[in-house]
Amino acid sequence: MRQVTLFALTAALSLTSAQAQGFKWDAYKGTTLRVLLNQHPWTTAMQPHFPEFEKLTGIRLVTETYPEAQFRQKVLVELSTGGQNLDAFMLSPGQEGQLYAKSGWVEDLDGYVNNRAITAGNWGFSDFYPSVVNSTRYAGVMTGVPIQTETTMLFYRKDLFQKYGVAVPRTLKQLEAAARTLNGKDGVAGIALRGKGAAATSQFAPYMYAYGSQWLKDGQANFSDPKFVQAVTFYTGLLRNYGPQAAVTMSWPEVTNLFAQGKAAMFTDASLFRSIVDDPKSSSVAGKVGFAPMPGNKPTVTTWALAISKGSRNKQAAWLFTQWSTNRQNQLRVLLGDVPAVRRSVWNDPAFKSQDKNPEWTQAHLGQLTRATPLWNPPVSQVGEVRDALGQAIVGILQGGNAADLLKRANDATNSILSKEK
Amino acid sequence: MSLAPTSTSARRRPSGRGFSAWLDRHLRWVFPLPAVLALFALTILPLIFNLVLSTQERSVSTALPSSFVGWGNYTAALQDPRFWNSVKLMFQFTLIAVPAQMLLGLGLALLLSRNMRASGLVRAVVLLPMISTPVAVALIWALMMDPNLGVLNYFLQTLGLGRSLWLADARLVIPALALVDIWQWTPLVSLILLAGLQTMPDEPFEAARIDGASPWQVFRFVTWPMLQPALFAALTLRLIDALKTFDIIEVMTQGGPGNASETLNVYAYHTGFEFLRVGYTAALLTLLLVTVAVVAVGVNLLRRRA
Repeated sequence: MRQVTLFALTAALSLTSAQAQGFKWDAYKGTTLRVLLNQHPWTTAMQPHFPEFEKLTGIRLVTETYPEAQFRQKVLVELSTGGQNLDAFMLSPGQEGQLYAKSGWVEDLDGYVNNRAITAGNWGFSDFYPSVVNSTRYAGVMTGVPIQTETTMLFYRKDLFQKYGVAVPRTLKQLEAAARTLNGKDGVAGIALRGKGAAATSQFAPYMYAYGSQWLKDGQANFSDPKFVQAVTFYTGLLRNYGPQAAVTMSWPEVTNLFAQGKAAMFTDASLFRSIVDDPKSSSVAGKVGFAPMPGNKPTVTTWALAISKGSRNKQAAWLFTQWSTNRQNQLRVLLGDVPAVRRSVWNDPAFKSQDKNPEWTQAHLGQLTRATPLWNPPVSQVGEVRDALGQAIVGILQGGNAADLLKRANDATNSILSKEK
Repeated sequence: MSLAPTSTSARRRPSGRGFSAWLDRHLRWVFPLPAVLALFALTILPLIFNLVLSTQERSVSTALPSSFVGWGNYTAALQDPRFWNSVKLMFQFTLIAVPAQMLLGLGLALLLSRNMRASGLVRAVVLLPMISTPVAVALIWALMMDPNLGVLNYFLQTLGLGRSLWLADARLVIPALALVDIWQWTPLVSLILLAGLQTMPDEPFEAARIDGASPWQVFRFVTWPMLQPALFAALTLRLIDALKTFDIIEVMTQGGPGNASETLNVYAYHTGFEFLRVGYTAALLTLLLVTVAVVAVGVNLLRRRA
């Protein structure tokens, strides 16, 4: 019996390796792929290795990289005009997933990932974190293959926590207590959070989930839900009472900058920002930064993915690029470049383990991945407009307005936007 | 009789045939043709397209609604409190920035028109803000105005004036943005006025001096009237530009906090590129175009009366 099992196992193993060897990486030799990339740490880590792909496949890569705002616009314009000249591009599903999926602008990659004919046997899709893969699915479409991921976490000043005897907060109540204790000490604000309208909404999400509320209910805006109002009141209360001045102008660059300058005791935002606040080159508090899971235990997970344009004439070649970019070796490379990878195996790779600068961060990030929610934005096509409506309410409350009234107005505005969507 | 070259050539070669003869006869249409084509392709066609677009409810995606609405976008705009707020802010910004620029520019031009030592160097330095990229200017000012880290609050505090929230204060944000605009565009005004001052003849000034006019009288009755063409040119230019200011505002505040600095141009940008409501945006931009045109024509009428 044992021998039979062993035999079957060996057979299976040799089969997969044969497939791996038999996979024709050069099936689309001579093709030219046009790829649009966001200026992102992932891009910085991967770009130097693109010639390897060209050598392996004989495909020529033409890449264009833009800063995020221009990048999003560029992709939108190209896709909305057919997307024929665009093959692969970076996509942030939580932002554009719904619109792109509903508009039919992206290939549904569900049909690709498990197709043995076009996917290398050793690519290993099951190695991806399921919660991250799920965060690319909108309107029944797998909009892209994840290339990196972020979860919300708490960043705090270890030195201040120690000096004033504050324990690392696990609940929102403790978070507020810590902010209260530290506010004003050593010239820091108790806590820094995004307060700038639309930009604040995504980082408010974990607070909303912790209060047991959600963006939508039965396809309608849920901003008037008493729990939702409580969550907004708590979030804005933290900022008003223990936050920095001018919180209404702050998005992530301002928040991370403030923290890096040693002017805030804590902030909650995407795990990726370790690369800013814990880097001696950009931060005066590097080495003193502590990382903890998101208080309230309801973090969100954000993903950047590689997508294929529906209008592309080189979909198969683009799929080769997608596979190659997300294989184990390349995922390890980006992880070594401080970009959180999406494959389980690379986090356990000795190459990473031996140089892990922040096991505490690694633990907080990975520990959250399984329970993180992908809906950091309301799942609607008109994300920008809905975020703006809610953002206006948040700014209004920060400036002293009535939370219930302002949220009611945002709720009505959102419902009228939703009523127009097909 | 006519002096036009076409008619003389036509007379010289009345029965000309072939391309060159045809060219000769229609020369007055041939030469401006490239300009007319360019104007048509780059200005008139997009304008017509914009007008057509503004009658539709349109989005970039087929997943979102699309229909013909006639005047619907315009009536919606006129009932949109955010539209009126943006128009109000647009004029607030302009009415702070432009008069200040005109006054400062005039003072600067009068100073620079005197022959002083190193005047060339001084002029070059004064022009520096104007030749800087608006986005870079906006980023640096945003940094200086940062309430927590910025240098402006440091100065205020040193002077014992307390701190200011600058761009984060809904009441201060428009004046703060206007300040940046003033810093950047006063040199342009002074450059135009300086040119006006330097083309003036000397005789009226000499006559005034002989008649014993005071410096104020010289300015009021000699310089000022002769400077008016330059003044109106500078005013028209700056009014048009200030009304449709976009780069400084978008970079420094994105229309915030809330929509306390969302001028019409910025609002249109948001409805277009963030909310993807293309038709509504077209209507907003048409309204902006009309407003700017009315203001520009109004200033020109004033000039003719002056």
